[in-house]
Amino acid sequence: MSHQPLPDSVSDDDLLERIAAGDAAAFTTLFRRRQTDVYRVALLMTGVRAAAEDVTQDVFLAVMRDAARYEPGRSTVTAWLCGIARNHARRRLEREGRMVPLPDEPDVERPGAVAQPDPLGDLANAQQLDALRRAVLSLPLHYREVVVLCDLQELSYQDAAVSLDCAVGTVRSRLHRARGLLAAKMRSRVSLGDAAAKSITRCLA
Amino acid sequence: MSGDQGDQYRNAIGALADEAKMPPASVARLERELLDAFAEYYGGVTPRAGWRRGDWRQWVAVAALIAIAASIGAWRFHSDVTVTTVPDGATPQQLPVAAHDSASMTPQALAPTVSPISIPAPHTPAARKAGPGRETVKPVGFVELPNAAGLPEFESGTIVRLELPAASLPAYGIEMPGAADERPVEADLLVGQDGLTRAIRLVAKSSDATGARDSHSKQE
Repeated sequence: MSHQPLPDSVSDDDLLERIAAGDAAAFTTLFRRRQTDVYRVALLMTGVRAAAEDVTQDVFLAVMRDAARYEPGRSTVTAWLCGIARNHARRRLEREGRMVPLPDEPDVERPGAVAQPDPLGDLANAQQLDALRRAVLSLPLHYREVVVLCDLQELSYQDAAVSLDCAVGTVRSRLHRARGLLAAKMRSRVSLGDAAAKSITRCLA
Repeated sequence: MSGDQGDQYRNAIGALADEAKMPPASVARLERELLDAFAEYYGGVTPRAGWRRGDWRQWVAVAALIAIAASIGAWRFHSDVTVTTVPDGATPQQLPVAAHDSASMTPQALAPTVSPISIPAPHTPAARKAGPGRETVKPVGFVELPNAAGLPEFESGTIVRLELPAASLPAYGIEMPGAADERPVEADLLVGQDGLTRAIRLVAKSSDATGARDSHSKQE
């Protein structure tokens, strides 16, 4: 079954309203428009691709059932989706215990990816990103989710507060504390000889 | 974190965000499965403006109404009866309940020939309203009919008020001295949930509805 996606002029809010009325084309459109955001939150929360895919599926199943519960004006649709993704990811983490990220898991070929001319530079960058990803994933959950939502997903503090169901001040303080923890983790990696963490530590210091 | 350090952090975290910004590996399968689930969930439902299947508040309201209706139904079903009366001048021959062969009587058959009695709602729980123009009361003061023995247990039913010839009372198991004439006597028949007459009681003869109400209230 395939449905033609609706044009970009149809807002996310309108899509949700149509989904609540059983419009499959709107559902297809919202999925294609927002699945990357949802998947990214899930991946950075769980660190496991398979789990992130499951969470993504769970999120859109929840959208299918509860589209009418979305309250326009309280937050953006993206923030609402990220909040659902965060809840499902938390549930999965609590159920299955802390997941261990798989850094050697082969990357999916991304559309538009361009081959870099500097393989050594790529390696260094990849090591840096892997070190940072590990540091993020090792944060306590309530710190990890603010980093994911605010720094990685770039939600506003207000939207993040709605997603996390807490006060804006709480988001700010957690984010501040999370960044401090990230810096400390990267410093400890440096002390253990992780060269890749060194440059990031300089950033966070 | 200083300004420069903040920028560097944002760059690093931005690079991580970009790296993670990719569709799920099996996005096509995911989309297909979700659309199948969507079609199943909304199967056969034509979208209608104003109707939101997922609006849980509507379902809660519907569930609450069903629960209230079920409670009221169960409450009414508990050994209560509805009072009705026959029009003035009606004779037992016109009414199936007046027949001695009460097995042929059903509430449905009564409906066209009887009318609700206009009794004000008593202040007792037993006198709950059973519908427009009808009152629900406890069946007290009745004498069981001779042929009622062996009938299914009375659970709920209707009181039908009508006038009978005094001479017919012995057939109902009531002996009245000096009643061997055609003088009409006002009586209530208690008709069970199965349409069979269970019992009878005599009421004071009254010429108007007020009298009927008064006499009924006294008996209750």
